[in-house]
Amino acid sequence: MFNNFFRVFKFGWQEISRNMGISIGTIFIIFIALCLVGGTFLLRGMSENLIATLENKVDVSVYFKDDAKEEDVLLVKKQIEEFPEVKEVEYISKEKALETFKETHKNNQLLMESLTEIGSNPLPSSLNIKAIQASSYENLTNFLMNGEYKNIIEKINWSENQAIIERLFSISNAVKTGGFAASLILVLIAVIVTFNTIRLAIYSKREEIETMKLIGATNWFIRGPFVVQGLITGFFAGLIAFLFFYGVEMGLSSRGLGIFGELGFFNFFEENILLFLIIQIGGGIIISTFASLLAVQRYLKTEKN
Amino acid sequence: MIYFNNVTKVFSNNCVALSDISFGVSDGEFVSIAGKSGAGKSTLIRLLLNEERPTQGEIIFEDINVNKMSPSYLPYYRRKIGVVYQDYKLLPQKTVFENVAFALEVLGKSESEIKRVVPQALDLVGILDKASNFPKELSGGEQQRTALARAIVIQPRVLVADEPTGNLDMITTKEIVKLFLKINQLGTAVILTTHNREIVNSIQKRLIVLDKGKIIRDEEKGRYYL
Repeated sequence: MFNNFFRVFKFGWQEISRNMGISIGTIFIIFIALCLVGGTFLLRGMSENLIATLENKVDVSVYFKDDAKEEDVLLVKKQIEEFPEVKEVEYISKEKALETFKETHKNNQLLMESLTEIGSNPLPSSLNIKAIQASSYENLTNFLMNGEYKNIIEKINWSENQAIIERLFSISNAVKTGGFAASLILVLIAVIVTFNTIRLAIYSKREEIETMKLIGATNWFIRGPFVVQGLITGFFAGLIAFLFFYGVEMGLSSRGLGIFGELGFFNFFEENILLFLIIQIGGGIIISTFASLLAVQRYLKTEKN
Repeated sequence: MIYFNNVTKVFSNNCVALSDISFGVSDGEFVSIAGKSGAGKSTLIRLLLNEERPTQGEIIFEDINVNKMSPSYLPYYRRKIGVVYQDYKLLPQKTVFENVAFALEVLGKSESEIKRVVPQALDLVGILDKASNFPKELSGGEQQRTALARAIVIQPRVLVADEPTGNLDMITTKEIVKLFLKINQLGTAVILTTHNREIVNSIQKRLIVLDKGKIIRDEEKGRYYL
């Protein structure tokens, strides 16, 4: 039993080392296929990360009139918070607004001087609203503009940003659904290409398989080395694909790439590096081993008239 | 040991390859099966190895009904028969030693036994000095010797040779035939198919002549003539 197990591994490795050309070719094809799979996985993850970062930056500010009382503003805040689609509401009092303004523009001499000249606090109190979906902003705006507090509201900056926010959310949805469809198609292509490569490699072995059967080798004794080959080539292809992406990611992130770096485009890779390693190596092994099993099975069937 | 009982084989295109064949082969016997190309010699071997099923009749090997065995038993059945083909059927990625060792590895023999037995088989067929060569580095005769070593190393009950000298020159052919006779003397039954009159007549053992799928002669120490 142990003898056979050891022999199956030995034969598998022997086939790889004695057919280096074919083995390298197969590894290269699986590597390309895995790059498709890995690339899609990364691009989807990175885009979603990027969009999530951008979405997080989207908010709507409601500015209140100068004479609006703080308790009224807090009442509005409480009402808005009850909306299920609202993620977060932040109250910014006149004082807080001034403080932030001063902090932000402390180096701008002209602005600071103008502020001193005015004497009083010119900044309005406001509510900063973050919603889960873009469509919610419109409802919220309608509620505020037509509700009982419309008289204390100076303006809502939703309408100014409406176009860009809606565009962002539509891109986000397109990436989520389209990305998924594209991933499926690319994964399918990768699987088909790998299957065909391995099928051709095993096709060239069909006479040897026939000979082994005539000598009295059991199906598992014949199948085993091909499975081992699939396992080894899949492992190496996966490892190379992972190292390739790792190298590319390191190269790109070290250059920063401006806004993409700032928006966490590369964080996705770093956060999911272990998962990605498992996907690449595991994917390589599964595709290649399964393809070998399926391809060799065709020649193990006993067909008789 | 082997019985063909009223065996008929008709292929799907209605081509009758064998018609009502009956004969037996005893333990340790040497049987030549001669006939022109297309007489049904190879079909007969394929039926014995259960590569094909007979349309009618039955084939018995020892106490096994060859055509009724389960597919899972087939490999174990084939290990009882050593086979040599015209095209050698060696594994090109394995050396001579590994090709012969493979037959023992299939049987699950230990490495130490393989290291002991394979050189003996190679020595018997006179190819020990080529043990580490690959098949493509050998002549036709050397390849056939390797195939023969692989067939006998498992100590089969019967050695089946399907036109083993078809691709060889006359001198090599004679050497290979001598080897078959030697193996037979050591106690293994031999079934040799050929269309070569000279070989059959030099062997001077039992001869079955096939023509158009039928046995037309079955003689002890027979001579082949057309």
